Amino acid sequence: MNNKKKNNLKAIFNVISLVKKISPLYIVVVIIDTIFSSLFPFINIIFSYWILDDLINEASKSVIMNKVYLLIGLNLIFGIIIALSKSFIEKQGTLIEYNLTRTIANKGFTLDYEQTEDNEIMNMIQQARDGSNGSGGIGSFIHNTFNGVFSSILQIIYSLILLSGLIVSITINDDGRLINFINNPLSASIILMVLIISVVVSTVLSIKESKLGYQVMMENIDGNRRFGYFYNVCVNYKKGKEIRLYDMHDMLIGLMKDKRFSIEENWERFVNVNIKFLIINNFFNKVLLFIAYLYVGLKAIYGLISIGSVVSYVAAITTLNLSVTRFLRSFVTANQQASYLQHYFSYINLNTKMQYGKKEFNSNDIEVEFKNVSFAYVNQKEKVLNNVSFKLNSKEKLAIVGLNGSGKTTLVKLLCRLYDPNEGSITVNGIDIKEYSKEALTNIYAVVFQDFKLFSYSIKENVAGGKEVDDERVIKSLDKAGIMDRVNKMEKGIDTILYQRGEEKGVEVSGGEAQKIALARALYKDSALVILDEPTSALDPESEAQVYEGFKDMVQSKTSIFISHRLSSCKFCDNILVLDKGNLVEIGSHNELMRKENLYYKMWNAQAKYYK
Amino acid sequence: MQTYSIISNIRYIYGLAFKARTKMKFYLIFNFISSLLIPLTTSIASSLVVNALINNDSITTYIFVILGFALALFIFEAINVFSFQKYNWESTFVRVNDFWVNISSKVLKLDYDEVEPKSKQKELNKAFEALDSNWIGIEGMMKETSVVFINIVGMIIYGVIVAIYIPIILLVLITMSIINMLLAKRADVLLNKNREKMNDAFYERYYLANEISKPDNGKDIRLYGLESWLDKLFVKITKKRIKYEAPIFRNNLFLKLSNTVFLAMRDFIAYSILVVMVINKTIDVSLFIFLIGMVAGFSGWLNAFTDAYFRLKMDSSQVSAYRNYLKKENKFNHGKGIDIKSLSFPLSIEFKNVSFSYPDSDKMIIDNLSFKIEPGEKIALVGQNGAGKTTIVKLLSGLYRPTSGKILVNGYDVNEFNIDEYMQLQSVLFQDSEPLAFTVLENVSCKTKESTDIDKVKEVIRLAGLDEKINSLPNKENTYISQVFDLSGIKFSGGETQKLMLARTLYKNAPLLILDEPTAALDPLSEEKMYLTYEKFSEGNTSIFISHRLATTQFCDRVLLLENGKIKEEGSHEELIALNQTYRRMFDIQAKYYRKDDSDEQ
Repeated sequence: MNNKKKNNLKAIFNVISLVKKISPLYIVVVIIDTIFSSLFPFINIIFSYWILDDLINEASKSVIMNKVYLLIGLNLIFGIIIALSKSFIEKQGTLIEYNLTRTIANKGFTLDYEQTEDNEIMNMIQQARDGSNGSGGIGSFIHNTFNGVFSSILQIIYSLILLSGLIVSITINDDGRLINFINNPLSASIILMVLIISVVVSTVLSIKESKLGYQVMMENIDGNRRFGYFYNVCVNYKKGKEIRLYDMHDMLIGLMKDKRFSIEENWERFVNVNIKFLIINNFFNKVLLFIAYLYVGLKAIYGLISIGSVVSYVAAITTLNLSVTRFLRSFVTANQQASYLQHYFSYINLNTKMQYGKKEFNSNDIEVEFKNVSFAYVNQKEKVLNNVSFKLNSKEKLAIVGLNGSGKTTLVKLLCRLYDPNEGSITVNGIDIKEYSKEALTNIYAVVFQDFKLFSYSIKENVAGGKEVDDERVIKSLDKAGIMDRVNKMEKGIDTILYQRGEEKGVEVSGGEAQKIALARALYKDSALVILDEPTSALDPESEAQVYEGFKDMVQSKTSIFISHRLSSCKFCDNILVLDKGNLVEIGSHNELMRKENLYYKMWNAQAKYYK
Repeated sequence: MQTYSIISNIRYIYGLAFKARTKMKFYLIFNFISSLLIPLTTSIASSLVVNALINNDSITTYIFVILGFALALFIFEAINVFSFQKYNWESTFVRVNDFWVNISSKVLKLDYDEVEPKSKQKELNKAFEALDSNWIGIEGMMKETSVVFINIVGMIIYGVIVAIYIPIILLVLITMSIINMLLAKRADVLLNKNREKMNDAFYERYYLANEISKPDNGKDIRLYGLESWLDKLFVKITKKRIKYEAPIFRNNLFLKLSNTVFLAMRDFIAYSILVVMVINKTIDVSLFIFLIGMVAGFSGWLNAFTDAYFRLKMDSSQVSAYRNYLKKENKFNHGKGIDIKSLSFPLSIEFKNVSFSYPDSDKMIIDNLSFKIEPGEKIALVGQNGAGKTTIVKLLSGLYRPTSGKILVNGYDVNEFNIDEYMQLQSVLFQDSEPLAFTVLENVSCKTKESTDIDKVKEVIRLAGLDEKINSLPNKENTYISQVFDLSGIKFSGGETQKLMLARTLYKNAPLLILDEPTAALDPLSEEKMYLTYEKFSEGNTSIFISHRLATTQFCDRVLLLENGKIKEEGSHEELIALNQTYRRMFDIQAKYYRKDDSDEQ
């Protein structure tokens, strides 16, 4: 079995065990549904045969009506069982789908940060989501597989049982060639032959079609993502300001039409191919129908079988044809769906590269050292940091400054172990950060990035970082960050929801206010190392001063790192690190660096000269 | 908010669709006819076959019958498949290329005050629901309308046939139909009651799933250990959604079960009557087969009709939201206005007793504000967060209109201008500007490729200090920003983005220049370069500069200090320093760290 088929089979087993975990009864109910649904149409086929014959042979009313009552009764029972099982299946479908989305999300948490920026992996996530949705969800995949494979097997069996009456030969007193031919059980092989041709044609076509369909669907995912972008542009009111002020309407509409059109052409080609296949298929089905009616009809005309059975036999032949086709096709479909599901499993089984150690961290004292650290982003040749070495002593305040693109934020990201350096090492309290556990690392740092993120939930949940909420501690942190007054004016105080996510009334906060809440979050954490990346860029002078003053108190007992373009903040730092294009060019206190009259001196004067 | 009837929405959709894609009409008609002929043919043929056999017709006659039947069925099914697939494709195409583009174009052209407020965003989201997938809204309506009509006609044809032979069964069938519809209606009402709550749970899940997978959020999630919190939220939402869905599922089950019982009753009555009729030789066996088929077929049409009808109803309400959105009117002046070519430059600006509160709130952000800007003046607008600076920019640039008071440009009320032409007078740089995922060229010029002046683009990129970066890229100005449309696209850093946005502002080169915090992410040297560029570009133009960096006020002729929506202090930098009040205090707070103090060496 080649690799792909093996993987697909594995995927199917994985899916089944996954579903069993989420909803144990699901598979059982699917089996029940399969058995009853597959048998259901045969009730009518068999009974109509019997009732028709009774009518033709002028049986008594009570005999006929007894069969009618049985027919109705069976239909009723089967109908109820099938309705109940289908309802259960549908209900659990939601549960299964939500669980899958949850696993996709949880996997995202465990990825290395570097992987989350990788576009290929972004595509994988999208494919995983679509793949588990696109085929109707994993629940429906199981349902379809069972229905496709097992119910068609059952129906093949029922049909064959029913059709056995056709290969019975009766003693006749006629020498006619045709009638003896028809009477011979082997003549039924004509039907078999036509049926096989019909099934083979159908299967070959459906294999071709599903290959094409898969291709088109993949292209569609990409196209949908792009289209989703246009949707976001239209709906995002923040972009709306500039769209109007810069008259971008024509450009956007033009691009919209341009980028979408090619997707539609691919889809149209697929539709045309699909139509061709369906019609060819239909032709062979009708040929089989004709032959079936001919063969069965001749048997009836020659009195070898009853007239009432004609329609039933033809129905059984048709059902046999459909079932065999469906059986084969469901392999094709299952394979195809398994390919979609493969995306899901590939993603879930994605390996992370970062290894974590076991060391814990419980200290209030931190020393950081960078030893010859160099780093370049994946897929880029240019080094963002080049042989950087420095030491940050316990309870020291370090400022990192430099021109745009000099590597400041990257340095912090390496320190937090979002990435691993290409060369060199980073140690905290003498131990390489690679040896700390994941949990230890989150204990060490409290970071506020320039592009920090708050979530559309309550302020207190945001500040507490999702941990157990200590209301008093939340209030204290918000106060230190200088935003408690604003929060007190809100209707629900710290229970107020940020931004708007749904029905609940949320509050829009300005950039500066959000920055203060993010600061409160860092303060709440009470970690030994505080890192602030442009913490006051959106704040007015008074708020800025408040934060600086507040911070001097806050970080008094902590080690801290500041990145800022506002060189004024450097003055209360113990040490200043100056980066230029990834190189550490200067390090020292404000006074020392001013004396050197180098890059720092230049930057300082560029700002200070306006404040003379 | 108008609720359009289903019929009205049907006419609207098909009106547009047929105009855009004329072939759709034919696909629809052929699908309709063939959908009715197929089951009829099958029913008629079965009874003809049995009839030929009972009457001992010759083999030739029999072969004729089945040949005709197979052929007819093949042709009808081929037509049906062809028209169905084509029709579906056309409806997807027209949804995306016409309906979608129409509403996108509409929302992009609406006045800003119809777009930003929360209530308006909800309207937009509802309108877009109609376009969300192949199965609902506009495309859903296109699918279900034909299904509904096919099933109605099928019911009528079969009903008439049944009525001719066994009118009493028709009575039974009609009674069943009515009860069925009533039950389905009840289920529909229940669905609508819970829909809002279910939608909410849906949106929240969507929000969470989205936010969790965004790479930008990954840093905070990891460094604050937010994973377990977010996971718990996820579990909560799942439970919520299931809770709201439960009654709907229960109801659907009840519907299906009652349907099953009805079928049993129908069969009981139909068989009882028809069997007796055969025994009494009122009808023959082949007619029996045919009529049983008609009775069963009727129920088939009925059930399909009911399902399709309620789906159609829901689709129709989404389409109504869509149409209502398209009918929104702009209140700003989009007609003829003052000829901007006749204006003398530089422009003068005046705010006369302007007050403003956002549409969804009562709070007065700006309160009876009056100030004048002389032609060619450079004004610095300063004040605390939330004082109203950005709001002034939004009002001046024409995004909003004052709640009361007037804004005058060269003495003319802003309302007297055509709003699109008025916006041409300004180059605005906002604090939260973000580039679009297209090429650098398109981001700077904001025009189609044909209308872009490439040399001018290169020049403004140079002035903004971004030329080194752009020239280092393999595709230079044709590089895509972000990887949405091109996998080789790149992401700009915060500083580079601000320079890009400055280039866009410079490209537009309008007589009124407004910059809102343009240097927040720039390093000191780039910041200085920017001030110099700004100084150069504001020559001959009127300009407004908002910044927390009070150093910038020294480039400006005058400073306006805003507090709680009112002007607290006004004058040149030196005048306000001499005034020794709020401005002086703010300036000193910032300057404190830059000035030499005791800790510095002499």
